Amino acid sequence: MNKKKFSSLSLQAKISSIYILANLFILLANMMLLIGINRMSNEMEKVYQENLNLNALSECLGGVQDSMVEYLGSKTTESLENYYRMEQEYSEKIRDLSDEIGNVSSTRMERNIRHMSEAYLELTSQTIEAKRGRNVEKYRLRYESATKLYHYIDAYIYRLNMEQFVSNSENYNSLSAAFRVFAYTSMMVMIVVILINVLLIIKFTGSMMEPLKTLSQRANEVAKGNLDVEMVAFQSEDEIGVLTRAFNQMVISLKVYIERIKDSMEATRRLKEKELLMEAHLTDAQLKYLQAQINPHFLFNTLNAGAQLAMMEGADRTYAYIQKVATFFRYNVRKENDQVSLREEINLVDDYIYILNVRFSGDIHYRKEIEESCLDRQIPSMILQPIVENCVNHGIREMAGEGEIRLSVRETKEGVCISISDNGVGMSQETIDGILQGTYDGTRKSSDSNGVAMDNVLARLRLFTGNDKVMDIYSEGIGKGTEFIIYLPVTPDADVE
Amino acid sequence: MEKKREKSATKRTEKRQQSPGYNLTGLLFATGGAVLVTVILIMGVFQMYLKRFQGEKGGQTYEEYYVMLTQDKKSDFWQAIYESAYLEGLSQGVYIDLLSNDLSQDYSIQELMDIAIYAKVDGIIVEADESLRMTEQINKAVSAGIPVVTLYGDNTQSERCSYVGLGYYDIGREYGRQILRIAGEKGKSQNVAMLVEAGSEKTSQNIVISGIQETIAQENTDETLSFQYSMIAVDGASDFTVEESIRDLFMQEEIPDIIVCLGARDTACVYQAVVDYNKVGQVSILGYYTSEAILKGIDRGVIDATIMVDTAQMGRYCVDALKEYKSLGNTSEYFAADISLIDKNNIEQYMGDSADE
Repeated sequence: MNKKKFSSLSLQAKISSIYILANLFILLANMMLLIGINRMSNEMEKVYQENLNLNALSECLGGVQDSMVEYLGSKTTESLENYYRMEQEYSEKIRDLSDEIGNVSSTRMERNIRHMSEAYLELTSQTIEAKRGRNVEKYRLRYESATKLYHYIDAYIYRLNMEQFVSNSENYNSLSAAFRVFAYTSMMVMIVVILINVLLIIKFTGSMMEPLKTLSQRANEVAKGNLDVEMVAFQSEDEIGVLTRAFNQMVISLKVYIERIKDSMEATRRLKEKELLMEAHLTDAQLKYLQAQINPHFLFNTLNAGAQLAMMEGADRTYAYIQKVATFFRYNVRKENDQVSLREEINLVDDYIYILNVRFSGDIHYRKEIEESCLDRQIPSMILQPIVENCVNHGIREMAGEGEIRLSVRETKEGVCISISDNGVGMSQETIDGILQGTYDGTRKSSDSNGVAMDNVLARLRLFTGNDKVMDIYSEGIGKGTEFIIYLPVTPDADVE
Repeated sequence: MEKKREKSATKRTEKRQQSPGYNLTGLLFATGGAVLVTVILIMGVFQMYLKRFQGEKGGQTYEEYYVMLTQDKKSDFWQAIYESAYLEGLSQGVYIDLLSNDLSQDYSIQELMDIAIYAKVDGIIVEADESLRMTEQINKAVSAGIPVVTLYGDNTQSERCSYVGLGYYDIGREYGRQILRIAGEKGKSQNVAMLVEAGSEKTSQNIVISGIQETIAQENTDETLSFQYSMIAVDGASDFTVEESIRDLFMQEEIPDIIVCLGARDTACVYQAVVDYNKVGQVSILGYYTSEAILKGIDRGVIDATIMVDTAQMGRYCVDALKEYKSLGNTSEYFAADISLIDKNNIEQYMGDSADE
């Protein structure tokens, strides 16, 4: 219980209590020794006290005798008073004498002196009494007896005094010898006590610092990155104990957190992988879906038949028209080639414009500025035509006057830059943002389309280039035309293939 | 190797876990204990030191206090009696003092009696004589409620409760027989000198002397032998007068053939004088009591014989008598201690004894 109590003290309280305790030990030892020395010196002071007492007793006895003699001689009141005073004093003094029969001769002598003194006092008072009664014979006799007894007592006291002086001198000698021994021993005791205290403090601070040392070693190891250190086993309720537990907890927590971070990183990586895979699948599916939408073999075969019929009837222009329409659709059907050359795409646009001009009797002016070197660049199929279609359907058709489509392909530092512009109604910035972010829904309104929408074009371009910035749309406002610019990077992944 | 290290590490951990915390409480207690034990030990030793001084003053106490009064406290004889009485007293809860030991002055027996009475002792053992003064003193003590036992010397007239003495008549008879034996060896008439204490009123001497005379008268079968008796008064008033008296005896023209000593000191003095005056063989000595010198004298043949008194018995008798009187109000009037004769025949035995002592 005590142990628990002690270990639950704070560090300061512990250190303080140790120091207080150590000091208490010293104080205790000191006090005990002081008490001892004090008693010893008291005893030494007392040594000759008995002799002094006996001298006083002897003097007092003499006083009694003298005052009695004086009274017997002069019978003055003063001497009588003197006698009574001395008698009183003496009888008080003899009361202090021992009345025991001890095995030490001084006690028996005291006893004898006491009894003799009592007898003496009785005799003297009888003498005084007889004197007062003028009984001469009687007081003379009693005086003689009293005087005799006085001499006996005096001799006795003298003897006792001598005896005590001898024994006291011996006592004094041995006492002073003992005193010296005691003083020496006291010093030794103090030294021993102080040594023990020092030992205690060293031991205590040592064992208090030991866990700290261990702790610092472990902390150093942890600081160097070794989290697999042995736990510091130490249970104490004080600050060191708290520190130790906190350290242990910290190391454990560190391990746990690191593990957790590792786990979460792993999970993120896996998730990303999965996401990428899914995206790939999705793209694939989308492409397949889109292509499935435009797979009209039947239409193509039918058109071919129409072309042959027109040729047989000698309608050359009709033949050429139908032929171009057929080519246009065949292009759409070529599913296996997802990537085509820029040349093929431009040819498709040419065909498309031709078909439109036939349909709308040459309303659309079509101009091309092509850098020949770019024509072999790879590009996803069905990119340019939907954009041109968009220009026609939303730009030119809704305006009055002659529409114009400009297609330019040029090489820049970043790659190939394809620009398709019209002089149509233009676009609001909202529409442009909507198209680029894929939120704009207006392109699907028209049924007069080959079915490939702008968002599809954008998505495919982005997938192809792996870049978000694949297209810009510029329009200076309503009625001022629109320009679509497609950026093909210098070395897109597909080109490397 | 690696495994070993791991094992030792786990062991260490286990050890630590078994004794977690500072585990200093034990250390604290141990230290405190050590300090306390050291201090207490020192204090105890010191206390014992002090006790020893104080013990001399206090110590054991006794119920009763008897005093023994004798003129001749320093002699072996009296010391032996006192020793025995003292030990007997201690066993019965009585402390016995040889009163004159307490005083620096030499007081007479009467004065010592005075002191004892004034001091209200519980019992007095006194070497009495038949003087009137002694009778008065004894009666005074008895009337003060102090029982008195006379020892060695009696005071028959007094109210003493008991007398512890020797069979003086027997001593006389022993002396008488020895004188007859010596006379038988030496022939002719014998001048027998008996040393008696001058001015003494002790009746014991008279009994001894009459014992001697009667024995010789009764047992002397040789008609040719004749005896002249003379009493030599030895002045025992002071230490030196005895010796002087005895020397005087040897300065006379007629030196006694046989000297009967009735005291240990007398015996020693006569023995020395006989040696000094070169009278060995010429003067026979009958001694009294034993001392180293007397025993040596017997061994050398200077002293013919001595009377051995059972002093231990005497001491015991004194205490027993007083105790008995105090408890029963009555006791035997007379206790006689045993006596025995030491001569050349049995000296070995006593020499051995005294050597042992």
